[in-house]
Amino acid sequence: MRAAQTGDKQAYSALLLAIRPWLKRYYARRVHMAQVEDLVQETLMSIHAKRQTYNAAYPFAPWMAAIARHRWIDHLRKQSRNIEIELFDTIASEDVSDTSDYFRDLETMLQTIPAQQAQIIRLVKIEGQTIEEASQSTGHSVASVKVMVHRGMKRMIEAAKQRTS
Amino acid sequence: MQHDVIQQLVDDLQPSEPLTLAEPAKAAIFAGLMLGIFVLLFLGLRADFGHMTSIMKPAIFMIIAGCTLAASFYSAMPSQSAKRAKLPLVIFGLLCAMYVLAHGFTGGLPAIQQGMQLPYGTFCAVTIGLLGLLPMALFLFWFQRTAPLNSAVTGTYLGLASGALAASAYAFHCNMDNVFYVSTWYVFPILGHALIGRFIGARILRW
Repeated sequence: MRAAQTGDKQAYSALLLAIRPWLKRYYARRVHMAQVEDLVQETLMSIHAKRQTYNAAYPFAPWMAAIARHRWIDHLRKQSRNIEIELFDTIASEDVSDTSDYFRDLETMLQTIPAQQAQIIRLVKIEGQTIEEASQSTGHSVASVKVMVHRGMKRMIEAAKQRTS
Repeated sequence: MQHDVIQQLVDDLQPSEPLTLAEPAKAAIFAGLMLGIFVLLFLGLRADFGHMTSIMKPAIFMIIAGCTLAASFYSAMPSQSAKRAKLPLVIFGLLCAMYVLAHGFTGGLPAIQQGMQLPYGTFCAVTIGLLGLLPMALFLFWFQRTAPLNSAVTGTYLGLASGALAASAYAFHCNMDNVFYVSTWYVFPILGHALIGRFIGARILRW
């Protein structure tokens, strides 16, 4: 971290890669598996944004642990304010003979989210591919695919809510 | 995707100097000078300035401001906050006790009555309250770079520091040294600032 503070990108990259597994283990013991990736990412970004608060005279691990703990508490606080919506693999819907409107609406909704997330949702939710298959065809890791589906669906639900309200 | 994030963060890396207590201390000195100049220009120096109490009163509030500013700094630095944030507060308590001991609870009821002078006391409290807004704004702005683990606590310390700094500047003008007077009309606006700091800090020092 001392080297990273001087702008050493190689050292910084090595540091972030090294702390990632620790963060994963830390959050895996505390939150649902589906949220681990999000929290790890948020923590990495916090470490990046607040790196100037690290004092090289002190050990690095307690500093990182304090940031990870803060992110976890913040996550719990947010969770207590929001209602969790469980996402099902299959979405029950009425049997409609004309599906053109349905697909047009779906395409409109998919345009409200980032292209990568939209592509993954198309593969998993519309074409019916498994997470592993979607992972192979897109080149993303299984965990990344899960996160993208989760985030994409969440955004689409929010966008749909905004439209109806 | 994780690796993408790491790559983005690495690409974004710029050299950054670690934060030190010297930076908020400089902001405090600047704010203190501004407030001091304002008090001297618009309110005037107290007529009996020069004797022990007239110097001791602003000095004590200045040290209180320094201690609480140090406490807020350490509370906003992950991993070194818990123990080091407490020491300045212990000094804060000792100084308050010292002031009370130096002046003593002498004088009985007349001293308390003198301490409760409402019109002048209200002027003192309001002036300190208003003067404290400048350091409060400066501190809150600077502390957004820090990483407070409890932003409400850090905000409270910052409020105390702002109020004490304003009280210190105002003490150059005010010639009321009665313990009851100071503990009412000086301490209330400082506590008011602490409450404002807690409220605002909890919102804008989040990260």
